[in-house]
Amino acid sequence: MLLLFIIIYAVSLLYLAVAERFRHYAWLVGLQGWLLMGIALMQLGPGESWGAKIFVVAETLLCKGILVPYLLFRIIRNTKINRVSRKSMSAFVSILLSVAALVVSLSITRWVSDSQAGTLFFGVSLFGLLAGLLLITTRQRIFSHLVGFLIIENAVFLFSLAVGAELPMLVNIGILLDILMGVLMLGLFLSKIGDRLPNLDNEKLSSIKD
Amino acid sequence: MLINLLIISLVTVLFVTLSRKRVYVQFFAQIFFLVQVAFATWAVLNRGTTTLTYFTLDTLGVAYYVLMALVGWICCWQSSRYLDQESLRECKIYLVSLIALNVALTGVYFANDITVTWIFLEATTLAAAGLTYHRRTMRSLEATWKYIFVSSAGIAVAYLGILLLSTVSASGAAADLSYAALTQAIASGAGNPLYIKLAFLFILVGYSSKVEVFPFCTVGVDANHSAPTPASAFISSALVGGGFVAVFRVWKTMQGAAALASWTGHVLLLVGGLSLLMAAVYLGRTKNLKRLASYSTVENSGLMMLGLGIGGLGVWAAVLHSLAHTLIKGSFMLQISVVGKMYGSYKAARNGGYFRADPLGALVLVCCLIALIAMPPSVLFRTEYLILTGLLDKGLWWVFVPVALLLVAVIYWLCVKLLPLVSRPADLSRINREARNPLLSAVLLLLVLLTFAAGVWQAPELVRLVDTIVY
Repeated sequence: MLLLFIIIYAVSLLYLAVAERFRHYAWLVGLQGWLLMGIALMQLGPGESWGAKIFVVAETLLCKGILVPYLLFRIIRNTKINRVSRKSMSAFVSILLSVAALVVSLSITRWVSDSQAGTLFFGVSLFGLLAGLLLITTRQRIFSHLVGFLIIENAVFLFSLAVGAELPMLVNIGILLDILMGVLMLGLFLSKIGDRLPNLDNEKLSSIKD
Repeated sequence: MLINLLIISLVTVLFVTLSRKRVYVQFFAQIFFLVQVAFATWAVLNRGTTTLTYFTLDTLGVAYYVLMALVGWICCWQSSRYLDQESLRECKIYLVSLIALNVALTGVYFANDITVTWIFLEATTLAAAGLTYHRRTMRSLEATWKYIFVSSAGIAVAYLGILLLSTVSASGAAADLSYAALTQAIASGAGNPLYIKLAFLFILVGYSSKVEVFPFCTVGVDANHSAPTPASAFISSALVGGGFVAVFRVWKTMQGAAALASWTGHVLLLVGGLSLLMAAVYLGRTKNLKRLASYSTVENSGLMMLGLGIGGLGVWAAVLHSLAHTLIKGSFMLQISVVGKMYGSYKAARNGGYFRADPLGALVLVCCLIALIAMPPSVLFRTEYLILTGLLDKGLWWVFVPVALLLVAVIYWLCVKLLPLVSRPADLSRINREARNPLLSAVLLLLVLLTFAAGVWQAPELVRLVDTIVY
């Protein structure tokens, strides 16, 4: 079951490369939130305290699985922009880059594989990090950049599961803070940027020059 | 005591928020900064104390805290003059953000656990964003968005590094993620060296927007550009100091293992060199005084990374450089805030006649310029000399040559763009001479002269202070 969840997670990252509508981005981010909740609960095991389980569910399901996708859909509704910019890279080149990122991640994972961090978790979270960075660098609209950041956050969360459940509570609090930062960015986007930049192109955010 | 400071901060924020008159808002903010100065004195007298488990008042933290309290208080004082045209609401948001940044930086300076440092650095992003978005223009929105976005992405990458470091803890060699436990565990050979190397790389990249070095330094420059100048003074001195403290503590945990020490050294040399290159190129391009000062911060932070990368005396020089830079850059930026208020613009090419308009202020600017370009008697001359000779001693002449050339370029651009402001003839009737602040200039001059004194006189207390931090 755990393997299935991780594979679906990796496929969702590949699908991000070809998705052309922001609605699909929001769905995929939501799906990843639910998958992360499943993976985290399985990693915690039956012996874990209820407090730890509730904390993880609050982190993943409420924030990543419900709140973040809800805010993304609200931004899409408010800005009325649904398509990834036409000037961005074609879907074919994107998927090629994404597959290359997957191959690079798996190669690095083979090279650095270690008993202290689950190899599969490490590889997929590294792929998530690269997929997020690709989204930020190859897409033109700021909304894509925001989704890229959320994908990186999810990758960091997955990696935190890779290094073991015996991590200090502080690490979990750190992850929660990271998620809150993402929510705050969504709020800023919703309340400030969406109103001022009708087509959400990053070209409009390049007035600061030397 | 730290909890008392937090309570006082919250109470001050409450009073600042609820006050209905500008004078009360500024009064309560000043009270906060005065309490901070008092706490700094207490921290000096109680060095070595651990409080609330995760905070230790060690020499490194206390030294930066004292500097932050001093610069913060002066920033708050100048802010009240600088923001005299702003609405009460804007003034409140500005001061609350400044207090929040102070509190977050206090956490960064004193944290004895890598995760706690990270949490407070993340908090600095929020507080600094409040200052950057102060003007609420399209330009400040752009700077704020970029700052939050890049800093958060960087901080997420840094977190990945912390998670990699936590494998040392998970292996059972370190009981927690405190710097002391990590140092001991890494020195004993615990953990996968490759993970630890990657961890350092990720953490350095993640923190680069705070310490203003390659690769994410540009967001810091944009934030400085958009924030009100007294806040820029605080960001480019205290916040950069916070970034340095965070990087220094992580770097220090890895010095017990020879292979890791060598790796971190090479990474820091590369980052330092590239930061210097960026600073030299962009100093030539920029026409704005605030950006000029910000790129000078990138140059100085690059030199600090080079110092750490060299090791030995280079580390000593890097720490002293960072401490002195906090005072010099704070003073420089604050004096620039007076220039901006007088001329109504920060365009370097458009303004002139500053020496005639404000002789004391011009003297501060010239002294800051001498200090920043590391001319004797600047203390930065001493530190840069140590860093450059350190490069030659290590046989790194292939680093020395480009670094020396880039430093010449930096000196040239700073002089070419700043000196005309002081000496070029200009129509003084256009200048708002009421905006002068001779008392502020006198205090700033005193601070810069203090750094000059440290440059010519090797005070045993100062040497002992840096020794304690480094060794």
